[in-house]
Amino acid sequence: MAEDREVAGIRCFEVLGRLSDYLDGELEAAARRQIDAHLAGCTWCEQFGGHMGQVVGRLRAERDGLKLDEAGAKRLAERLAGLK
Amino acid sequence: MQPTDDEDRAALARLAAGDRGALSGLVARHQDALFRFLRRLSSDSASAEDALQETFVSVYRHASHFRGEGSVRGWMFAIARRQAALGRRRHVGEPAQHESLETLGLEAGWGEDGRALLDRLADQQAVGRALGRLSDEEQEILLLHDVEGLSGSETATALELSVSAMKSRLHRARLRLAGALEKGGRDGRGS
Repeated sequence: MAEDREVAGIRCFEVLGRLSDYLDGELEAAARRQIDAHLAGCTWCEQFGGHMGQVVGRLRAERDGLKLDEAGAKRLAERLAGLK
Repeated sequence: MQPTDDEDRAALARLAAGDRGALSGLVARHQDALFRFLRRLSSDSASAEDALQETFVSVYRHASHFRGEGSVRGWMFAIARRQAALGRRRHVGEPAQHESLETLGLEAGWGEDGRALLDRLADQQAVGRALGRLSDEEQEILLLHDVEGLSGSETATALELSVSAMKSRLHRARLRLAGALEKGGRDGRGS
């Protein structure tokens, strides 16, 4: 197993803590550059970050087209039509 | 802000003024996403459908309660979430276990070669099954933000959290999901 190391002025576990913000593009430019530099010099974090990116990408694909079927939509419309 | 939010706000204002016809636009725009969310959080399709109906009933009855903070979509998901919780007979906001981020990261495969996780990702059904093994709280945030694509602000509104608390919960839930996938692969189980 890898160790928590400091690369580019930031430790692996700090990168781990900011990974979602990094993947979501929520970091300010300076913080993003620092994590980019860390990932460029840390195989474990680079690999783990890539895997987490894939996990998030697969979640997006879980929006699988499931829809309320016609009968359900009809029941919903009937329920709402009966509202006073 | 989502492209439909202006339309949603206008519809809600009409509803609040007593124009029941304004509900149809909200239903057309949001019924499928709300149903997908509720279906994941409900034991079966009928329960999800009941919760969906009650969500729109609540939207109709409480249109005037929308305070205009955040999007209408986030507000409706908050109502849907409460309806799902009622169906499950539990309290909204039930806390998940709180391991340290380091522990969650290690369980998710940080510091290992990650082959188990990649193997699981290659299985089309594995993510859905792993999602189903998470707590309700973790599932809710992943469904809202990562599956349905609500913005951070909308997700926070739906979960009645601050944006910073939402981000923290989202990150932990993603790590937990990766951990569930990693564990599934390591154990060689089908789920």
